Amino acid sequence: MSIPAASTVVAATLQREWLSQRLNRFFYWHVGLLVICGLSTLIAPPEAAARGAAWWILQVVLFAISMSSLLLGLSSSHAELDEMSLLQTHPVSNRSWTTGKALGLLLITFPTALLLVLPAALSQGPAWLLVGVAAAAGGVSGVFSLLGLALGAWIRDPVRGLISAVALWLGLLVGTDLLLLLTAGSEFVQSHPRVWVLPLMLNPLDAFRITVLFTVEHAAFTGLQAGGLTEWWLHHGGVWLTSCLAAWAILAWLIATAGTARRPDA
Amino acid sequence: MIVAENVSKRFGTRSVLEHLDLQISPGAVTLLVGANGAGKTTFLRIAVGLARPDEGTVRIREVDVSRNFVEAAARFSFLPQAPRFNPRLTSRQILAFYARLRGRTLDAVEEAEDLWGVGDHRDVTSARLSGGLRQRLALAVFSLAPVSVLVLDEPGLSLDPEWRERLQQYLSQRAKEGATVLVATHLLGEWEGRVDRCVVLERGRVSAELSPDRLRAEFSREPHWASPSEDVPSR
Repeated sequence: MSIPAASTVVAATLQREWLSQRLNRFFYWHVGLLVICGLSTLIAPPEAAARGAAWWILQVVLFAISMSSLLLGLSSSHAELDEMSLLQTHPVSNRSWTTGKALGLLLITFPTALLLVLPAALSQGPAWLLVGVAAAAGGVSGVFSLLGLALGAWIRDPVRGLISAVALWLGLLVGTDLLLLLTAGSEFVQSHPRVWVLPLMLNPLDAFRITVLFTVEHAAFTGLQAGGLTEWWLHHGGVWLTSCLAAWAILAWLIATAGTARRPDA
Repeated sequence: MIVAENVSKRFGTRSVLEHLDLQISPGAVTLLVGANGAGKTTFLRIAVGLARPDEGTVRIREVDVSRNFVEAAARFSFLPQAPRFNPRLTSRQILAFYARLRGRTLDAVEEAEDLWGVGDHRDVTSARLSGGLRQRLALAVFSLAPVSVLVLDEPGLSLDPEWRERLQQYLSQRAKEGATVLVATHLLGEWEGRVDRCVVLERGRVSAELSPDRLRAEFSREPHWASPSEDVPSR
């Protein structure tokens, strides 16, 4: 009789995740997308190229990589569903299992985000700006893969899972912005601008967008002198984005752990 | 030893187990039989922590499964009905993963592969295994655990007669060595002379115990629980 140490379970699950991803078509789509998008920075239209690789990568992460990462995590979760009745009768805590899966996904999504900036870095020479954007893109990609993992742990039907993933992605991509646009003119928001800015700060895609545009690229924006929360955010974009992504990653991990703990009859 | 006390389970308004008391002793192969919906699988799922009882407790070697699952799980091995695996992993990768969880070495993996005849398919992904091979892979995972409580749900359904025979021999041997073996099955005729005890479950309660040496005769005599239905293999 032996109960494996948490570190043993995490290491075994991490290795299993990597082995499983080697035959996951979503993984190859994800990597293929990263390579194509990375190369496209070299052949971007002149007006886009003029704005730099960082601007181009921002668009790519918002509209493609976030989605492919979400599907990568979802497929990782769903690949294990059939085996859960065997796995859940082993002396393994759900926390250790989910940690192993989450670390496996992060170790895949974070480093592969380098593929986005590699072509630009090789052609234009390495730049700190690109390193920063790649790190941020890797963070966003990692968070979305964990959100996919969490979604898959709760929504076990593949079709419903896919629909929910698309809905979540759309909600984060345009949902918050639409809501804020609709409420921007209201008296309450005008008198309490912090309430309006806060959802933008908390949304990982908006936090990424704002950070790359105004902190990394230093786009002209009157908000830089706006004072209050907006000014603080724009001057600490990198720190805020890191904190925001870390919080989302932890939240997704907690949701995934709770979802994994659910027994089929729950 | 497995001890179930006053175990009840309902799904909506339907009661599946009603104040079930059952004790499964070590050193014996115990068969749990009953018609569809009698509560066999539900009881096994509760016994191995896959479901929670609404009432009552199941203890495996003195450990309450619901209250202290991880410690209880270190004391038993379970073979689910029609097991399936991550389709992207090979047999060897699956076995190596479970061996690591059970603190076993690669030698134990090879031993299990040899025992259940899956060594020739070690590099084949589980998605490409036939039903019988998948069942044997699950048996290899099952036998990796260094435990003395063995719980199996319909273990022979996908196996051909030769492998069913080997499974019965394996379980008899483990019981002789002192293990507690509990098997839920429809194919009780095949177990005649191979088991030490046969418990009949009817409407969520233990309704009878059959003579282990007269299972075929008992099977055809008891219309309430033994009438073949659509998912009982024809005999």
